[in-house]
Amino acid sequence: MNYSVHCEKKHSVSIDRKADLNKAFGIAVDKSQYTVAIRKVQEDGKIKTLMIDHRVVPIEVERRGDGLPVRVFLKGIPFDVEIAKMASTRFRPPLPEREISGEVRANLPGQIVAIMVREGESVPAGAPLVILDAMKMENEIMAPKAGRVGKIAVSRNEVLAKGDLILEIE
Amino acid sequence: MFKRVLIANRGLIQANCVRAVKELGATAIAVFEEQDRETAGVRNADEAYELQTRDASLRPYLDLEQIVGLAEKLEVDAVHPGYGFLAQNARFARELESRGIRLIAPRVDGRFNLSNKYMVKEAAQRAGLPVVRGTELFSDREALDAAVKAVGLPLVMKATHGYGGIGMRVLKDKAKVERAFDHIQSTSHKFLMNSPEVFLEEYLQGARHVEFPVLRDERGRTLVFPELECPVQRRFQKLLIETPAPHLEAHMRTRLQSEVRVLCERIGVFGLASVEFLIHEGKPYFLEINGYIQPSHTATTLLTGVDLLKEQIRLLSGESLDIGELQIRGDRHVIGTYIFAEDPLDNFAPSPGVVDRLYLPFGEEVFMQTSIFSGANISPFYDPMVAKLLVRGRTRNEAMLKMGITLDEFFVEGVKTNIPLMRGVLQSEAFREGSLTAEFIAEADNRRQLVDSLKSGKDSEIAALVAALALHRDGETLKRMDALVAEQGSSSVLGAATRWLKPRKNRPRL
Repeated sequence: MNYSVHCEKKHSVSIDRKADLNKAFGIAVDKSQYTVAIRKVQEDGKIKTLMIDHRVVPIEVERRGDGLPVRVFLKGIPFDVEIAKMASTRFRPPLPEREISGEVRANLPGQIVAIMVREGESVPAGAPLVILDAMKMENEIMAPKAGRVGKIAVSRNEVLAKGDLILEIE
Repeated sequence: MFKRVLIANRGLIQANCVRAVKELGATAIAVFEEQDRETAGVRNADEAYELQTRDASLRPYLDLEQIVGLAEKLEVDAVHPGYGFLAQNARFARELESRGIRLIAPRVDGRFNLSNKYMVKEAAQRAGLPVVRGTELFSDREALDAAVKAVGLPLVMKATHGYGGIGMRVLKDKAKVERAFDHIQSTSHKFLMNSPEVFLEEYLQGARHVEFPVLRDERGRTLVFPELECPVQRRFQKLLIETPAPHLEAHMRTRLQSEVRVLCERIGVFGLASVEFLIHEGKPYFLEINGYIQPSHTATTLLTGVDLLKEQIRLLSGESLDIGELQIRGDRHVIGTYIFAEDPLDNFAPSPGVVDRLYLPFGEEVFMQTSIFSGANISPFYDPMVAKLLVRGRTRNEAMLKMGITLDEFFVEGVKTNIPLMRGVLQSEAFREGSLTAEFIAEADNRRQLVDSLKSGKDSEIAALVAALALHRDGETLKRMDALVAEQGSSSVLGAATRWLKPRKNRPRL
């Protein structure tokens, strides 16, 4: 299987289809040949640790909604990746959705300390909406796009979990 | 010595206080809120009591009435406030004293108040120490304009009672001054529960911070420790410390140590304090006295062998300083990094969550204090320091090398940390030369560059390999892609891979 992966530049990754994943196997990246063994997987089968050329590499992979990897962390250092092409098909993975959602959610858990807009008010993109207090920091949550403020789902001093709806921009 | 000591804090300092109190033969009493019940300090305490969240807008560790009430009920004879929270709260001190409970914080001559930054600055000036040019105290918005004009931009705005970066702002832009003023006044009220007065000071671009820990007993015996330097900070909180300060000339050290001694005598400090200076273009300026134990004191302990936290508690119980002259060895250098659950590449945004994996570094002269473990939940409500990592070398070079390797071995998954940033700092030329400044780290582009400097050409190949392999093994995603290919009508080479990837029965578990 050939994958064309964009990471800082275009790389061609070739994984032998007959490779036995229980043993070390070869993966070619551009002109380099790596010996790879899978050392640790989580319950759903996702890889957690690899052995690459006899060195232990704990890995973290961030995926987008459709499951394609978008970011790889090597020792906490982020690398943006994009699967550009697979094998020899003309297939190109679909691009992620572009439309900006008007839903404003808590990007981290915290407490609402101020609400700076009223229901029905029109706001430009980037306007401060609420202040969320998390880890000793006040975080301004901004409007993701211009629009009218719909129902405000929170009240002052309310404690939110990550992902809780704050309000909607219509 | 005290018999029962309540520790009014959480996290690393709570655990360290528990340890020190136990070593002194007293009963260590921890208090905690529900989310913290599995932390080291609570586990290790002789007694631990859960605090109630009585009011959503008041975190339990700031709930003065509740903690004072508990201290009284539990018949403790002292309370250690750690740093932050109630450590600088004057009312907390008064409420405890009125119940005959001693707060473990430095005492000073009755005419002074150590947590009042402005008052201390005045005292230092009168004692002949050089201070930073600035305004007098004010609390009216009307006075703001004139004060800004008098000092000029850039400037530092400070609340009278601030600590650890709370109640302090560097302002370079006139448009942001009023907002900062409001913000500082509101945080003063909320976190410090103190007066909303502020003062302005000239901002000394590129200044280095050094501070001298001091122990002083009731009889006036004084021990001034070698300086700590913290070149890497974010929002006035330290990220990296070293002791002794690199490139500080011996005559400057001697001069500042004697000024520290004079100032501490003048204001009658008793207990543990740290006297902080800025060094700007070769000239020192007195900055402030911190009256609370700090994470950086561990570095001093490693350098000198004196357990500052334990001595602090001992002195405040009325015992006298029984350490003679400090035997400072020239062949010791200590570097410490503080690891926070936050993302330096996203403006240090907090990164609370569950730690999935934790691999700790290992080795001689490598010292780790951490409150996290695999499965630990990092609370969004507090300062997210999760570890202090210190190394000691015979030379600065050896310590830098050791710290670089140690950070490389330290792996935390599940939350983002500043480990990559600190690795970048350690191998930067600026840090080696001792020319790295807090401002440099404050710029997002510089942080990005420091992290990027760790990447080698091979790394992008490895990352591409990992991405491809992760997808290669992800049967479900491939199946979905396969369906898309079928829809698009192209020949499916993906199909073979998808079939091959279906889980085989009896496949041995990896």
